[in-house]
Amino acid sequence: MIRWGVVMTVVAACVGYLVYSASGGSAEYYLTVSELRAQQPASGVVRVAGVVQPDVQRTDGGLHVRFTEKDTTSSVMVDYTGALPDIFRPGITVVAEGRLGPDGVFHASTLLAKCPSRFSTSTYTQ
Amino acid sequence: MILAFLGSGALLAGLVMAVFSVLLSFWAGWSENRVMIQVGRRAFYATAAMILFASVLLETALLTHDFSLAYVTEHSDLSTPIALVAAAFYGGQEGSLLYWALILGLLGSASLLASAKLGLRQAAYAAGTMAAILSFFLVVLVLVASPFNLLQITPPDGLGLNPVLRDGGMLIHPPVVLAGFASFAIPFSFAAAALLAGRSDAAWIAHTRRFALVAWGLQSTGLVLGMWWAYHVLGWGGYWGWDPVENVALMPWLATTAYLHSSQVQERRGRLRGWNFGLVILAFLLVVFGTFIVRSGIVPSVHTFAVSAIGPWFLGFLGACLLFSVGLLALRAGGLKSHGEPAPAVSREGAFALQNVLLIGVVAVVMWGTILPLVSGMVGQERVVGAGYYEKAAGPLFAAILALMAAGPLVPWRRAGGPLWRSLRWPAAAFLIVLGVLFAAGVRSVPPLIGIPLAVAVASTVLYEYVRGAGRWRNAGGGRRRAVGLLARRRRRYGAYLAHLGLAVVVLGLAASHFWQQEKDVTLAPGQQVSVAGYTLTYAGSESRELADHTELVAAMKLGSQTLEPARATYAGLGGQSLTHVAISSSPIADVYVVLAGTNGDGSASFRVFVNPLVSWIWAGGAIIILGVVLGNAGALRSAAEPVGVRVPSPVGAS
Amino acid sequence: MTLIVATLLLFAAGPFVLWPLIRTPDEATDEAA
Repeated sequence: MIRWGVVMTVVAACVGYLVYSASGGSAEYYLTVSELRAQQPASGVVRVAGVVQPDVQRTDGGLHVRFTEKDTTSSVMVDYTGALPDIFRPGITVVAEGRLGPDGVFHASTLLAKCPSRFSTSTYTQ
Repeated sequence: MILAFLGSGALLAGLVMAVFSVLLSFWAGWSENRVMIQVGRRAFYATAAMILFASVLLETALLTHDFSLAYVTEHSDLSTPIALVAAAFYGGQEGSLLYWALILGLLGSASLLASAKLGLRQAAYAAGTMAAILSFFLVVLVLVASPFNLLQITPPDGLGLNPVLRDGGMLIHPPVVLAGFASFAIPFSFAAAALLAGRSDAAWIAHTRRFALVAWGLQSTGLVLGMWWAYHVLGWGGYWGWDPVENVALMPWLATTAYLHSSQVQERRGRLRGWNFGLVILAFLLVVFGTFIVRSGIVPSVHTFAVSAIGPWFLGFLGACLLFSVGLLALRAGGLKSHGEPAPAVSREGAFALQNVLLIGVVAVVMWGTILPLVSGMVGQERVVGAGYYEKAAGPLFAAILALMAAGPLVPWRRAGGPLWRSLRWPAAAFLIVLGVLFAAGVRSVPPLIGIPLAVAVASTVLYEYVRGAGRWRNAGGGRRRAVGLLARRRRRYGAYLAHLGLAVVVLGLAASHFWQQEKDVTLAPGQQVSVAGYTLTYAGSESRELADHTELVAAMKLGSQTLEPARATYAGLGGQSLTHVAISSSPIADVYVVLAGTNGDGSASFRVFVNPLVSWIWAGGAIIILGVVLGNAGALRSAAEPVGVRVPSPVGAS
Repeated sequence: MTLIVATLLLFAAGPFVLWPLIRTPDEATDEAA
């Protein structure tokens, strides 16, 4: 007969280990534009949230885009290749996931968009 | 305008009636006053009727385009198709709260009607608990987020529904998921009632389990529909993003899955009672936590409702439910001690218990990933996790659960012996054969190498059980009564096995479409081709089409004899927002999924093409799960008959 | 206005909700306490 307390502890330890080891590799910082500018993280993938400014340049049939992302004080140029979220246009909030390059441009591998608050349900687009 | 006054009046009346039901039901239950218990229950029915009336009024306001109501103006306009105008009922914050209350009122009334033959006191406490939950929602609806608020000036037209939501999925997915969430309140209320009354008998447990199954079925459907909608509408080629809103829908489902299995240990052997109460309560607490997360905007998510004053209210409700539940369990812990000695580890009971612990482990993993931004933001720099975290942390746990699913149905109750090892060779053989085939085909990545053979092993166990059952059925003979008894017990079991098979099919679909998805970004001139994973598409040109409320830029992509038409829709009235309409060619083998990114000045067009193997297995598997649940349990709401041969404590106090 | 509607609805629901109380005095002997 097994003591269930022992089993639970073992499983809990396994879960704890899994969570810890999985977090280490995949957790990213979630920053505002000002924080990104201020911190200049050496390397590593981060997420940056900001509002899209009107200077959107699209090339390559919409598969490549450069735009400025801004919060109340700072702004950063974002470069992204891939299909754009449907909601994407100046004025919406986006979360760009990627790295800040040595050229001061944020190279995004993923772009997530949030709907303006006056609409009800927002949607997940990538 | 009239509708608004009637509606807010109905909500206020509902609130008063609900509070009355709470007070009366608890008092009458405590003093075991039969007449007053009935009055309290009728007050609950009356509350449900008021909410239904308010719902009808809101729907009428929407369908008649009554823009004097702020809610109607915000979520519809004259050009929105009528079906989507109707769906706006549950599309916004206030309306979805009303919908939640409606489901709770209706399902709760049904559960009370069905419980008429069960313990008097428990029924009263259950009514009181459900009425209390309903009261909270009504308070929020009346004071904070009323769908019947009027605008100072009635505008001539509304703001319209977000174009992304203008899709058939909007009609089905949200109401099912919301109903699923609301339905977890019912087993919670019945469990709380049993704890409060200090008494629970087999019939009560069966009743609780039935409604937990209803909630589980609704939530399963809602989850699969959500994945289907995300895949078909949102254009990123996937169906699950581990977004907080998705996670909070998953967690109560996991807890209830655990409960559906461990409750069988309680039915058969009278053990794990405290654990089962805990699971049912945990499921509902996760639901309340989920509604708080979703409606407060406190965690970064792409699904949030408009951030409003509602957050603190749900936080308070969560706190109250936590206090109530913990207090109740602590007070009644003594009475929940199990009778009979525990089963040895290698037994059906042991398998269920291990499965439960693993499922709770997955809940913990998902919970941590969901609240990490909150926790980390409070102690330092805010951090989030991506999909990789969930896969690495929960993946091994899911694998272990799959292994249990493959072995569990073959493990006997109480004690495993020689026959077990012999019957286990079937899933083991299936596992090894598939593993060998994959390895020979060049697959080296561990997750699919483990996940796919395990899913096939699960399916082989189900088939084995069906074959064995067919043999036993033929040999059963005996009288008609015995046969009917066998069939009744069997139906639930074989329905559950069918659900297992459905889950195995889903897992195969998830594994193949996730690990072996192929993707290509390409810009094509008319006449040019692109090849992805063996499928060749030829771009045949594009054109612009004018429709009722939008303009569509449609590209023609030839795939063999088919023409796919990925498109981009532009809605003029909404700031020129443009949307993707994905074109998908589905087959049992794979989906070819084409997104039109845009066209260029030189006549070329840019696309993103995905090939998703076995994706349709996910939807098919989901349907099989629901079929299994329905076939195994349809009509069971009527019968209170317990399976033959179970030791049943004599029911006390049946009214 | 809302209050008026609410009060009317409550009065309308009253008989339904309180029916067991109205009914019981007639069948007091049959119902167990």
